Amino acid sequence: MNCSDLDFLLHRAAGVDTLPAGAGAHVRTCRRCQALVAALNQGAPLPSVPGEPVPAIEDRLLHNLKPAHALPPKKFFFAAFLLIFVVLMALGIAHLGAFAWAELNLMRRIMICASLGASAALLAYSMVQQMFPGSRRIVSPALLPVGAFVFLTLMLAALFEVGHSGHFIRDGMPCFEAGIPYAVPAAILFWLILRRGAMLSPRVTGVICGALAGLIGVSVLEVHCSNFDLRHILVWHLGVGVAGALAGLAIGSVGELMVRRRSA
Amino acid sequence: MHRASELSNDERMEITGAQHAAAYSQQELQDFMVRYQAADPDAARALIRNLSPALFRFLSSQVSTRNEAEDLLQEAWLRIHKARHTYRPGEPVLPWLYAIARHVRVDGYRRRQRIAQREVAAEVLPERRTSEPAGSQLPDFEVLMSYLPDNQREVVTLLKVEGLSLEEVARVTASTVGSVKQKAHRAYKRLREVLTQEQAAGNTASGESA
Repeated sequence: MNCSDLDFLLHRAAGVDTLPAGAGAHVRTCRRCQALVAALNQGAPLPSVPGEPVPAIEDRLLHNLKPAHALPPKKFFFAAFLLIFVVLMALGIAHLGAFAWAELNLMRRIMICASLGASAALLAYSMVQQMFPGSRRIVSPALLPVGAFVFLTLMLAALFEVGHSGHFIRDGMPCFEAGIPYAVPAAILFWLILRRGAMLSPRVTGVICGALAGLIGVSVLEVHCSNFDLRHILVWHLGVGVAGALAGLAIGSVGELMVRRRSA
Repeated sequence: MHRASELSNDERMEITGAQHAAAYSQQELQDFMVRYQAADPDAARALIRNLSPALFRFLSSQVSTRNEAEDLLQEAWLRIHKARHTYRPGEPVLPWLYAIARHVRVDGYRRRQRIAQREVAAEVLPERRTSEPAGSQLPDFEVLMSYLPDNQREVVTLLKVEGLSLEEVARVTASTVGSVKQKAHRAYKRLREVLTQEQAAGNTASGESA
C-alpha cells in the first residue's frame, strides 16, 4: 500500500481506524497521509440557518400545497421514446422506399441496424435520465451524443468505401433535405415528453434530444438511399443527426438562458 | 442518546454536518418525500427544517455573502418544490435533492459572474481566511478546498462534508462513478502536496523563531 493506493480508499474513511488494515498501517507510518486524513475529516461545520429564510420558505411552499403525482417509471418514458423513434422511422421508410436495403448484404444490414439501434437506445436512456434529477449515469450525458456519432462514423467507415459519385453536393442535398423532415416532428414529440420531467440542463438535454431526433433521419436515409459512397453517407446522412444535435444545442442554450433570466 | 425519530425538528436543526444524514435514515427521508408529494405539510416542513442547514452550507460554499446564500437556499427549495413530482419513490432522496441544489448554485455562480463583469464592486467584501487559525496544525477545511479546482472541490465537499457515497456524488454531478473517483484521486494528490508544503513552511518558520 502506498500513498496513491490510499487515495482510492479515502473517500469513505472517517478516520484512520475506519480504513482497511493495510491502509490504516500505511497512514500510521506516513506523515503526509496522516495530515491528509486528518485535514479531510475535520469537515466543515454546519452553519445555522438564520431565522428568516426557513419560515419564509415554509410559507411559500406550504401555502396552497397540492399533491404532485410522481411521474411514471423510467422504463415507461424509455419505451415511449423508442416507440416514437421506430414509428417515425417506419413512416419515413414507407414514404421514401427501402431502395438501399435491397442492395445491402446481410452483414451490412445487421451492422447498420445494430449500431443505429444501440445509439438510439443509449440516447433514449440518457434522455430519460435527464428528466429525473439525481439519476444514475452509465455514460456522461454531455459526452454521449459525441460518442454516438464517433461510433457511427467508425462503423460506417468500416462498412463502406470512398467511391466516385458525380456531384457531391448536388447528389447529397436531396438526401439531407429528405432526412430532416423526420427529425423535426420527432424532436417536437420528444420535447412534449421531456417537459414532464425536470430538465436541469436544457442545453445537454437539447443536444441529446436533437441527436436522437436526427438519428431517425439517418436511419431512414440508410435504408432508403442506395448511394454507398462513404463521403456521401458521412456528410449527407450522418449530417442529419449532427444537424439535429446542433439545433438541439442552440434551442437548449436559449432555453437555459431564459430559465436563468426568469430566476434572476 | 436520542433515536432519530425521537428528536424534535428544532433539535434536528442543531445536529452537525456529518451527523445530519444519520438524523433521518434513507427510509425516513423517502417516506417524507412521498408524503410531501401527497401534500402532507408536516412532511414538507420536516424536510425543509432538517435539510436546510446542509443545503445552506452546500450553497454558501461559492458565495461571498450570507444574503446571497439565503437567496440561493430559497431558490433551491422553490425548484425542489416545482420538481417534486420527478422524485421516484424508493430512490435515494439526497442525490435528487443535491442535484437540483447544485444547478441552483451553478446558475447563481454564472449570474454573479455576469454581474461582476458589468459592475464595479461598490464595497470590498471581507476576504476569506487564507491561513490556519492560531493553535491549529492543520489548515482550515475551507482554506484547503480553495487550492482545488471547482469540480474537484465539489466532489470532495460532497464526499467528506455532506457525507454522500461515490454513487450518490455521481448522481448529483450527473457523471459516472469512475469520473468521481478520478476527481477525488486528483484532489487528494493535490491536497497532499499542499499539506506537505504547509508542513515544510511551518517547520522553516519554527526553525527560524527558535
